[in-house]
Amino acid sequence: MGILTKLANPTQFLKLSDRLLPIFATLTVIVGVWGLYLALFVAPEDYQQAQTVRIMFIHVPSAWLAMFCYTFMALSALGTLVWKHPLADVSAKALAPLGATFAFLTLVTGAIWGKPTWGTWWYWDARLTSVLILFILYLGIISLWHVIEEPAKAARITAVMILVGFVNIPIIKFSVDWWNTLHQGASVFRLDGPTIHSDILFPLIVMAAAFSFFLLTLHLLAMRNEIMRRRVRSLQRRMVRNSAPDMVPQVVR
Amino acid sequence: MIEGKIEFVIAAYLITIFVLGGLVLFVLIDRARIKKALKKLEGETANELKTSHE
Repeated sequence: MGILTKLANPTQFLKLSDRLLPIFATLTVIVGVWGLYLALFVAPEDYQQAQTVRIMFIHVPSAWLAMFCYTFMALSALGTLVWKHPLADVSAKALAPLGATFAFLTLVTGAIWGKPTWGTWWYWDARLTSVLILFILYLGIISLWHVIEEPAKAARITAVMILVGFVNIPIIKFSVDWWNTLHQGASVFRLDGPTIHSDILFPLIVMAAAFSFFLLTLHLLAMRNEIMRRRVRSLQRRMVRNSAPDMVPQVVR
Repeated sequence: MIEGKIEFVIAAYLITIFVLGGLVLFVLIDRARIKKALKKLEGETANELKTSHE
């Protein structure tokens, strides 16, 4: 909790993120190149799916991160509503477009994988539909932030919406157990251990690490953008108060 | 048994690279835009303070 209190000061956060950004960006490139090499050249073909199994190395990390982003947004929403942490809604606002992108990639790569393996691009199965709902939730949350003018009110309302929408995350995870779906069941995060062969599991873990470093880098960058955007707004307000409206540039949204 | 189907793999990887690249561009362009506005406003605030001192 100590580090969270310390990071409540945006200047402290900017200083820390200044040091962390180059580390995460470098790790993204190194682990990303290694992961792509393993996924495209080292991992063996599947005996049933042949080359198309390689789509898994981008589809699965995208799906994990789409759900992780939303879970982290829900924690941030709690930070806004319960602890009133000044950076909680900054974190959630920065995460929403990133989570939406990963949800979009999950849907698109899933459709591309579905065509050769299931014979269809799309099927209204519980897993696919719940991920589509997650993507629509992300778009709704992003829109809410844009339509509500007052930042504090926008933070509160979106926090409530994020928490309500969180019910969809366990539905995505357990949809393959609760319903009879076309989508396969869990094969990595299982109580009895992964059912994937280590030759395929290892590249998958490396790609998931690369995607995670990518998310960390962009999340920090987007949070810094949001802090600067708020600084711009407060300077604009100060100038308006000093009755120099002609000097105020267009509002940065 | 599915034959090769390498075109699906290529399409999936290309789309992912374009989308993630677009996301990076979006964040960097946003950053440049805000930095520009911040610089302009800070300059104007400094001028305003200087004028009021004089």
